[in-house]
Amino acid sequence: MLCLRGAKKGKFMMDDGTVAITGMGVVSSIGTTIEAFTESLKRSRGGLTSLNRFDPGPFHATRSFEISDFKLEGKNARALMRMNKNAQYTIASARAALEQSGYPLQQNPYEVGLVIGSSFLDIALVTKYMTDVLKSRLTDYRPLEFPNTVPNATAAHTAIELKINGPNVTLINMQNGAFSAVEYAVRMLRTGQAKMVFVGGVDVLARERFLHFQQLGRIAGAKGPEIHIPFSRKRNGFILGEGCGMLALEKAEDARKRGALIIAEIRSIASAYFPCPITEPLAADLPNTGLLYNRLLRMANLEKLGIDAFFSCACSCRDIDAWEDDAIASYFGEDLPVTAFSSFIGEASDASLLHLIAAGICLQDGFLFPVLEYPGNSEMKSNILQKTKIFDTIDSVIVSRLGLGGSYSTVLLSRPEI
Amino acid sequence: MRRREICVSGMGLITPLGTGCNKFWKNLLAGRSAIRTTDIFKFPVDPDETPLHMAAPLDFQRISGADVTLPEDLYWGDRLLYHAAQQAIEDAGLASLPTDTAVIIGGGASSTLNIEEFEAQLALDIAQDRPLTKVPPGILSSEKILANRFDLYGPKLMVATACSSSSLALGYAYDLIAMGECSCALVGCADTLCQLTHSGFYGLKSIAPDRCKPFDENRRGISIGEAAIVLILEPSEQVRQRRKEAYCRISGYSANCDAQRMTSPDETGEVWLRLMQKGLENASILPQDVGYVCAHGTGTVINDLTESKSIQQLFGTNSTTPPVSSIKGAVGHCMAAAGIFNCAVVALALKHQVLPPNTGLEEKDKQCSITIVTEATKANCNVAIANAFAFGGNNTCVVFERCEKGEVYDG
Repeated sequence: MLCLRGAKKGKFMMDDGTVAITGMGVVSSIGTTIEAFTESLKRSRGGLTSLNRFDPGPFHATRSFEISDFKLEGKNARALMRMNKNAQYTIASARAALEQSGYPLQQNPYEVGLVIGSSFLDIALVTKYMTDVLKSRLTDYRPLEFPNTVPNATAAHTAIELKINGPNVTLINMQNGAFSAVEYAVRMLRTGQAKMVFVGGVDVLARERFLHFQQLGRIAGAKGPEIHIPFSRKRNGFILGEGCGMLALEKAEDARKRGALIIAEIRSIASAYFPCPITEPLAADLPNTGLLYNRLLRMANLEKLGIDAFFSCACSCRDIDAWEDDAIASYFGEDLPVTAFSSFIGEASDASLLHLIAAGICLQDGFLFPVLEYPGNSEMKSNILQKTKIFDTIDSVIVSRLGLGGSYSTVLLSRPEI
Repeated sequence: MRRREICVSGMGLITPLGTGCNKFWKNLLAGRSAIRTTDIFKFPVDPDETPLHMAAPLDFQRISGADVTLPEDLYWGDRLLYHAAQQAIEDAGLASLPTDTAVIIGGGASSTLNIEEFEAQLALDIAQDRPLTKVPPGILSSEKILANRFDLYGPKLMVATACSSSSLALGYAYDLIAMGECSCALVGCADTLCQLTHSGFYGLKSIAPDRCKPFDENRRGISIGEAAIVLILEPSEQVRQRRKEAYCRISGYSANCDAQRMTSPDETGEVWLRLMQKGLENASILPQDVGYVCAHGTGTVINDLTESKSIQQLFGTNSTTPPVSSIKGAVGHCMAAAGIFNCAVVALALKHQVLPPNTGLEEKDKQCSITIVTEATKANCNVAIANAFAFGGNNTCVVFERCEKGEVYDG
């Protein structure tokens, strides 16, 4: 039997304990406010558009899920719009999450942390900076750009802008940095390092990021139509997206004490790690997802039947989608509703934190969005949604993410207990 | 929440002052400096402009000689990290790592972007007047490369907070073991000399024209160094069971953020004071019990003055402050590896009960009213802290305690 050795020993992440989501902020191709984002989810409106951000050069690519209507407003807006997009998106998302949470940040700036996951950081800026250095032979470049090339520049700018003095952390875990960031943030709350943590995931459309996935053979269009439809028969890779998602997290009991509105609760997080080539999401020695899901449910004190839907990490790649479809159907049965938020925003690397936000909105408003343009596929075993489903209530859902190089994370979100 | 007692059971050091704990420690205590003029930077500018050519490089050839078992396409930083990890595992007395071992790596400029490889590709594209056509496939993946190499199934993550990356990585690894989520952690960082970092600090006029001199009246900036440092962390009980003497215990850590400017700290020292206070509070240790501070001490005017202010505020002035030293006059500022490098120095100081000198100090800055260690000094030190501060105001302080009677320093 293929199994995860760590899993056999029960070495998954996190113990029990509930964390509340009290604020959310989004910058995405389907909306740059929570209201617009929610509307897009409810109207099944995806963000696919033409690729305008950069010239894909010799490679075939014409489409992207790029953000075209973003404008940073409010304090320092003009100065901030001169910053790189990572920082702009992150600052805007963090501001929105702070506002929604109503947390008295100025009273407790050292008790508030910020954790950012990003797969590619600001790689375009590094390229530009080094190009200038090499081309100009150190005579005509902008040394003041150098501090922005450090990996933590986005998190630092966000902390400076919002005056967040608590722990400030940037995490890299190729394609799974956002979920790692959530895990890290939850641990910060549980170990008492912070009373409130802003946790975000950000990645922007950049030529370097495109080249990376093109080299790995993951961009749609090379072996079939240029589509991004998870689970579909014609899927042949993904179309890139971008954005930033931000959550304001607190211990549920603390949030209740201060009378905050709890949008959803993180009941448990479980991750599996396995040896895997660094450029691949899956390996011959696959993680034992059954053990992982068991652990996730046990930590949340829930049974399989307590799960109402699965928000899959499917990203329109043949191997990933088929693997997770099989994993979900094998464990939860073939009736559990399954959807894939990437059909709305494309493969957004660590902006995949937006998947958690989408799931949170579904819990809050009692609906499930479909996999956009999914025509059905008899090869898939799961109950993959083709239409929006409305419910009286949705109690608990699982959201997953698969990274490159052997990491698979799952988060169990629940409707808050009143 | 009950936390397990965690210790440093093994270390692997590849440093400008030599490879391996013994060689490095001997050279550090002797007050040697590895900072020198070097021709490894390829900037085609006036060769007499010394700041551009002063650095603390590793002995490349000696290290690469042991590379035969590694894949040819492994990046230089990852190669170093692997060698340091092998050293650390051996030093910890482990035949192999437990399969649930976590691999937590501090990411910096060269280690996260493998920047020299990236630059080589860039230079090629620029020379041929074409846009970038290739991105190295192995970027940002050092922790996964190590986990694969050692066949590990524990958590793996890269923490990237510039010059405090590796000490925050150590803090995270400490949390993972303390909370029972893994039984061992391999935590480390390799940051190598690269043109991005050097050109950046040069442009900001932060590089000293000669050797950096932390806390000196005439200090004029940093010298850049490179290193690969790996520490093995384990529950103390596990180490005792195999009759291995650990270096020291990790008692706690803290992290905070200046949230003011990208490149310079809060000059009142308040943020760093709070950092150290919080670190000691988390470790349940009183300031008066601290016997040594391994300072971030970069050699810039503002950093050293601010750090000494915060130390004064915490401990009092001069005679009441614990001994303080910075290793950057000896090995340069090893960027993302600097934090865990300081942690390794503290571990050695606690084990051997000797405090290392602040190499390069000629005339102490009178405004820095702290006790600077000027030469290797025998001590009776039970608690020591290691500071790391970074661009963006990302700060970390790790608190260590002596866990057993260490070896006696024989000079």
